[in-house]
Amino acid sequence: MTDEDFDLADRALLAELLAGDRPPHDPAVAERLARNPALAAELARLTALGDALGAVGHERHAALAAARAEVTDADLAIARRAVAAAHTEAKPRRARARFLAAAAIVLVALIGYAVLHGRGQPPDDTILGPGPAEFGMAPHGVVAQGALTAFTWRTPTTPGGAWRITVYPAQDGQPTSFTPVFVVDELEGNAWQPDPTRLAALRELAAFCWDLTALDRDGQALRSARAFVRWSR
Amino acid sequence: VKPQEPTAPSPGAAAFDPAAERTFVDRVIGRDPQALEQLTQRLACVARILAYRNHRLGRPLDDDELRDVAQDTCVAALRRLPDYEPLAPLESWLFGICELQLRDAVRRKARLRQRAGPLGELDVAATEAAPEHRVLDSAEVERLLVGLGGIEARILRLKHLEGRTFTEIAALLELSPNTAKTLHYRALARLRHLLDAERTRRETT
Repeated sequence: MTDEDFDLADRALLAELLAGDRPPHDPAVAERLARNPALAAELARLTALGDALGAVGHERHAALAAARAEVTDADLAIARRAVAAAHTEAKPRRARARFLAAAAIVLVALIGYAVLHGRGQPPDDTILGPGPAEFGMAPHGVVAQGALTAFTWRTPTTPGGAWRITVYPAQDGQPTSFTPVFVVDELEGNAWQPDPTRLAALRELAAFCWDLTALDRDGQALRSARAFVRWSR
Repeated sequence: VKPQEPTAPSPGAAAFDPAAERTFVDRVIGRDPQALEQLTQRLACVARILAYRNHRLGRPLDDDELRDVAQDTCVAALRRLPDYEPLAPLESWLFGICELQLRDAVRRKARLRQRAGPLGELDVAATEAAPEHRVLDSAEVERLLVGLGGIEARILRLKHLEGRTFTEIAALLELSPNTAKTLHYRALARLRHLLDAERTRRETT
């Protein structure tokens, strides 16, 4: 059962019930749920999920309250060592930052050159992007040159890790479904070029969003960023 | 063990000021010495959070292992500081990193013990019997929310993990309360879809 299986009124009712705006025992609501068992089941599942998240929230508050009450010298020493270690580590990173800045300038120059020389031959497919920066790892965007289309990003992956791309249909800067158009796993490097089948699936959408997820070596998600893109036709 | 009063700010959700927290983190990233000292004070909660959670999990890690995880968690938090979003106090964000680091350490230990032979396997079973086996555990929620990403993950964090009202969420995320409620429903539905997909993936592998 997915979001699209319910009509607009059902979805609005679920949103109200889950927000606590209407009680499920309200006679009108109870009647509607009795008439639509799938809706009642969805409400029960999502309520249980919300309750499970709430239980995790309670555990988090208890842990944070305990942590505030009991900080010791030993705990402070651990933090101090970590801050000192981060400080000594920062120096080589500055050199890397300078290198990355220089590389970015070269990249911008190359793109500028490509744009200037591409004038007069409007590309048949151009994807406009990228989206907002999130968690410091914004996807770089989707680069299109005629039929050649590639998803690119900048952040280096975790050692031994990989990337996942999940594409959802979108409209007005929001995904219109949480059922992915497709998911590509186990990506390495900082770019991915869709095969013709996936490219065709993308072309059927007026707009879409793609979630870039960094995976650790066990395939667990570390962080994620989203970009909204649309075709200019 | 001598209890110590934290001298650095440690705001609770009610007193949380996103702009002040953002400024504080920016000062840390800019290596302001005073901010670094305050951060050190605030990072001290990491060891306590890990000790509390380790206790709740049935003590799968001993004190030495826990100290190592605390050190690794502090270093990981410092590296990921530019990722911090001021939706909740820094300590709440640190809690998420603690959960993931603790889970990884417990898994690593379980794997090592599995390789060690029959005695190790018994210990692994003891670890698995710990109360991680609720419908969702904290580390799993962290991982799922990271996978979910975007505004939906933010809304679920604020509503269920931080205990914010929809009015507060709407103000923090610059949405109308009705939009926040609609997105909350969508976020729960999408999270359930992720859980279902994961279960299917596990069953087929």
